[in-house]
Amino acid sequence: MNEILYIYKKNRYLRMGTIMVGFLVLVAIFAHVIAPFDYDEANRDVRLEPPSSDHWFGTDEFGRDVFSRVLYGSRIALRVAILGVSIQVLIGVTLGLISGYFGRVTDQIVSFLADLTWSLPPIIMSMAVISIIGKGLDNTIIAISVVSWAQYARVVRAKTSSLKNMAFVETALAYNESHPSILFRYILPNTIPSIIVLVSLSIPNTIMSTTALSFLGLGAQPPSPDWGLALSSSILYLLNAPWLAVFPGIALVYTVFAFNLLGEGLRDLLDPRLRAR
Amino acid sequence: MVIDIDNVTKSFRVGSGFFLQGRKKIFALDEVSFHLRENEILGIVGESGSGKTTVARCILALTGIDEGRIEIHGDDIQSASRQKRRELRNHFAIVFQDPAANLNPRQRVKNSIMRPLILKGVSQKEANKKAVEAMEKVKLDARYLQSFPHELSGGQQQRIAIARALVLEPDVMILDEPTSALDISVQAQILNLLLDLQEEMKMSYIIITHDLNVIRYVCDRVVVMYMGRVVEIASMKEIDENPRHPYTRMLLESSPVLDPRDRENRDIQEIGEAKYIYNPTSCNLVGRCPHESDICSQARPPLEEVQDDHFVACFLQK
Amino acid sequence: MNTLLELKDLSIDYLVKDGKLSAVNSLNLSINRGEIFALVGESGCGKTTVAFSIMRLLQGNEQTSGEILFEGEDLLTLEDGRIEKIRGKHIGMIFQNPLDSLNPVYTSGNQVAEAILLDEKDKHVVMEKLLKLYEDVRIPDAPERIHSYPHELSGGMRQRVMIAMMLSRNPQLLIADEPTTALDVTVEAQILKLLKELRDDYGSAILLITHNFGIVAELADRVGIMYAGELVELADVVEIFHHPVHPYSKALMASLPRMTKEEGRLATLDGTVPRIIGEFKGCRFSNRCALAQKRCFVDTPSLLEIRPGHFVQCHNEEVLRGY
Repeated sequence: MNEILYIYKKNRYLRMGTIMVGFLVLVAIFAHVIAPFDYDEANRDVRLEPPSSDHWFGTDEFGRDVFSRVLYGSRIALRVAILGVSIQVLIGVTLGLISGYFGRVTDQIVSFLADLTWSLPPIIMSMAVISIIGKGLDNTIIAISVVSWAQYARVVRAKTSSLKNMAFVETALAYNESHPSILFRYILPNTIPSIIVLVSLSIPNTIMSTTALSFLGLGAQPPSPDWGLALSSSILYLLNAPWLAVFPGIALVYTVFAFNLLGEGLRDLLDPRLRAR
Repeated sequence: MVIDIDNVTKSFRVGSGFFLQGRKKIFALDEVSFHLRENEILGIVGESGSGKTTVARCILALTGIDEGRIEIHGDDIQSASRQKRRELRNHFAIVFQDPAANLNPRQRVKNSIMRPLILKGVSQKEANKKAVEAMEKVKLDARYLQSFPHELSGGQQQRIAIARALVLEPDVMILDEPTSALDISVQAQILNLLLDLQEEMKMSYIIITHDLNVIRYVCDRVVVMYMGRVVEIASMKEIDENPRHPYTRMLLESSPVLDPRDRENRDIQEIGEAKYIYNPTSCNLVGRCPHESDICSQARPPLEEVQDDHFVACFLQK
Repeated sequence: MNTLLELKDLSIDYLVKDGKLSAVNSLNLSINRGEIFALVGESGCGKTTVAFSIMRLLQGNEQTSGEILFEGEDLLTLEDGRIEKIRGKHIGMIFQNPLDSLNPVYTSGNQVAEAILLDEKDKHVVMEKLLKLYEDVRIPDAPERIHSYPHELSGGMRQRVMIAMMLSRNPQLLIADEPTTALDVTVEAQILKLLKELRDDYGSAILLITHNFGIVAELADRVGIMYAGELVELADVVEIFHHPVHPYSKALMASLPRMTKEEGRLATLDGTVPRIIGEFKGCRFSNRCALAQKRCFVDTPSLLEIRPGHFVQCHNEEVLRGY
């Protein structure tokens, strides 16, 4: 524990990243407390008002408070992050473990699939998936995740390949440990550091991709306070009411930046310790 | 006889190739035969490519063989059913070279030691008790049971690997380069420990190493391997006083003597390095052997008993 | 002047979170021209740190004091430009794993030639020298081998290439850090023989850093034994092996497997090497020494010459006399 605290103090990225992401999470949890209005509370009398003391971020074309909508939007961003990454991890790690451990034909098949899904443009692929399963935020998340798991599979496969030849795995086999048991007790736990780093780095990508899809109208649907959707609808009013784009935009940039910092910090934290072992 | 290895051949393909085509075949084990007796310490000595580590993996059936038989107390482990194989494995314990790699970095030492017992069906309570006993046997304080491997030194890690090996009360312990990664003072401790345990628990050991000094200290009998083949089998004393195979002599000559006064007596020939080519009809040492003659490249020398319990695979023994 | 390299009161501390970790403490030793000096000890004794500090290859998060005099010049205070000239030309270094030190995308000949080119411009002379070097290090089929890539060569060959690279500039001092650990025994023997012959032919001194007493017995003229960052004994190689004086040296020699189990058990040492952080008074071996007296825990012993050329760091009169 002390070791972690020491590294935390020394690693600027990690510090800033945790604080920024922590702040985001708090905002998401307490959005209903902080926000002065509901995200879909429309007030015809105050449409398209610039930032004021009543409406810190101004109001949109329906008279909704932009500040409140941005705050509630954080929940969606986190939902995207958690759900999206969970699906990617589930598919990618499982396939990575299997192909790395059993090798040969299984490995060839999984690698082929991974290369296939990874090399095609994710947005186009997701659009194809959405055309099958329909629009909506969750569907978008699923679509993006289904085409992005390859990075997890690759990392886990590589680690699994090298781990399976290590003495403690051979010893376990000599003691009649079964293959599934070996995967879960010996191999998976040792791949977790690499997975953690990937998680914090793939969150920004997932958020950006789903935002792009929402922007195109395929993701979150009105009246959702999703930032991508907000950006999309702000285009019409860009010259008259730039605050409609600015604040959701800043929120997006902040979120992506925060997770990137955290990911970089975690990588520094986990890599040298792995090397030192 | 505890283990009887009879004419075992194992090959595998290396190199890349789509769907396993076009890869080169190498013979890790080439008609290998030897046996392990009750209560003896057998050394298998050889350099890289000799096949010594592969032998261990084949004995435990961690990998298959092409031909031959490996019998454990009379039962063939390679052709046994899965159930029987698991039973036969219970006679063994294995310790590998790299102390850090022997243990799961993510598990506490206690769990690593207890695991083989739990797999056999022993209760948590009983396994715990046996783990504490094992720590005592390897002279480690029981509080280390709570540690993670990376918190311990190389010597301590290796002791724990040995403790884990002991909990199952095996008949045979296989040790693959058990002290190569350790400092010499630690090596001395581990070797002494191994000797004491063997006497106390009446086990047999198979010690695989390239270090002849270690072999000389602990072994009763020695199997010398070169490029997948057995070239000589004899008691330690015989190997020391009367090495018959030219490769064995090469090894003895090359081994560091640990006495600077013997420097001048050593005769190191420029013998090049091993060429990994499969020679079904010639001796593997052709090209490096100082006593080569025609017959050596025409046929493969069989392993024969030239003296009481002393076997050599060389045409020039007559 | 026969002294090639002299370490004077060399101390190196690493800055860690708890304070200053002492890696090397007041080291004093000298190496003569053309001699093979072995600096030995177990893991953590500081020998590799010493080797790297001579080449100024340490990471940068350490504090160094004292002097490293090479041909009279203090290497620690030289500017970078000057050190680069000395590295390679006057002091060469070969490492444990030659695969790490060789560039995989260039042929071996190319890499050795690069070194020769630093001193020689004429292409024909370079080629001549290259082939001669390969022959000197006994690489067979030299004209073909120079076109081989590192991964095409065996471990022993690679190490020979490394040695060739270092010799090409005819350094006065060659530092060899565990040069044969990664090699098979029969190959190791040949490499050691090679190093000895090259010392005889080229006249380079060799600083051998190792924990392998076998190669020390094979090669060394003089030996320095390090423990917890200090030099505890320094003597001629036969003296060290047959008349070790310091309790640690004695324990080390007694743990070398030089007998069969019927003849007895190897002697062992209890305890572990201390990690010295911050101030420390007394002998660093005191917590493991069977002959420790009260004084050993408070006073730091100094290196005493008990016989010509034989130095020991110990307080105990009996130890120093009990030769």
